[in-house]
Amino acid sequence: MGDTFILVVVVVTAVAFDFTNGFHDTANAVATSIATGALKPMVAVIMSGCLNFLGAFISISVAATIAKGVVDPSVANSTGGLEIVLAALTGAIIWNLTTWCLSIPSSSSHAIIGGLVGAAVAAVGSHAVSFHGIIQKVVAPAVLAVFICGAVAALGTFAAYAMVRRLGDRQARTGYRYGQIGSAALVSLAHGTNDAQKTMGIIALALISTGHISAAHFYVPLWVKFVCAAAISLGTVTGGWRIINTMGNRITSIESPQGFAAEAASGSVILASSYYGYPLSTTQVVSGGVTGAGIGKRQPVHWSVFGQMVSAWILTIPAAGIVGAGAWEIADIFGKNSKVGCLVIVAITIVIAAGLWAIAQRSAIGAKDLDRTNVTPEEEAQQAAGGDVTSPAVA
Amino acid sequence: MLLFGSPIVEWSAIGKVVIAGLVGGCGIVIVFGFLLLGLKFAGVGDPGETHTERSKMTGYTLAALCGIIVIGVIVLGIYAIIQKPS
Repeated sequence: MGDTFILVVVVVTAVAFDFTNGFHDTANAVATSIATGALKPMVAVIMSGCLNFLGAFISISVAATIAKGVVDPSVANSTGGLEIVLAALTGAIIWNLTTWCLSIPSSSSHAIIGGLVGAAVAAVGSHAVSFHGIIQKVVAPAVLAVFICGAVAALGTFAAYAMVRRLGDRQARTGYRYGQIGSAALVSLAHGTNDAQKTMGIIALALISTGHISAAHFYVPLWVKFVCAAAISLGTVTGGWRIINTMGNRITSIESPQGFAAEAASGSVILASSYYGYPLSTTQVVSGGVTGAGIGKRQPVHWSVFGQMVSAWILTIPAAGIVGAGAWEIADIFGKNSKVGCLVIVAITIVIAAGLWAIAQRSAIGAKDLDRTNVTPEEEAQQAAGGDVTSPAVA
Repeated sequence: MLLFGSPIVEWSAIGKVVIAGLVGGCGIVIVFGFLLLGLKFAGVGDPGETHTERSKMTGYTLAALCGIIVIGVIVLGIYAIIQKPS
């Protein structure tokens, strides 16, 4: 009975994390489309939400990596396995909301992995963590994917502007704006595929710990897929406007051919990585794509903003890990498998989340602030030529 | 580079990610550019200019072919992911 109650708390918290993941990462899929005026902000997030939902059903390779490749599943089977998962989710949610409050596009994926590592080390010791799996399946692909996507986006941008010269400026910009609707859809689908699976993996790990599913015959129940798909798409539709603003307007000035190239590169790299079960940070990949698109057109890139993001990326795993470990220590005060301990962690998370939300409201950014669909291709070219890398919302 | 007896980077898989990125990223951008070029030949969105029937036909054919390639690459990629045994 105690296990069932804690399992329900873990599943609800995982769904809350999934919601923050969608909310935090909406920017990945739609930021450049909104920045170039290809899509109205609300239309963009609704489309992205729908495709995130569909994407969640495509594969379970990443879910398997999260459930079996980060922490030894036998640890989850041991007493206190559910608390480890809950503490991990706490670390990830708090880190996600902190970076959202600061408008920094950090990685939800690395937050959950960091939280899991921190909680498992605090609970069982470092032997519980598969460091080899983390380096091989998480860290190495994460670092390489940013460079791969950046290089591909730079080449794609170069090719796109070669076409612009043949097509004529106005026609090309209008055409690539339409193309961006498709490329944003591709990134949304890719995001649903890669990111929704991380929460599926976490819930699967909780289900392994209660014996509902076996690590040896791993599968993700349909209800888990459905719940995760719904949560990430609802989070996406809510629209993390702060991070959309950073990603679309503050790294570099984005024109429609660049946005198309960045999104096509990001979507392809994320989908290919999902195939191999790499739980990539879609945020990092898309940021790499946007930066590559800036480099491909040889225009100014705001390296200070990019550097701020890289610092957050480096900090994500340790920071979420420390919060995860702290959360586990708090739960442990009340004993193993304690309902009170779990409820205390959840209560603390809710209080911190509410505080961060209140702080963010002081400088709220909304859909209207980011709407650029009335910007003509000529104005878009003028702004890019002038090196305008900030939107009115952040001026 | 080895860690605990096995490579820390799965170069074969990463190499395939690079290829998929180049095909999907650069390839789609180039082919989509030709799609727009086809539409230009066909006179779409450029009503002021006169286009011969032959030019229109060539333009539409090029645009349709490129559209099929773009959609085909995406559908093929998604199909491959769905078909992968879990």
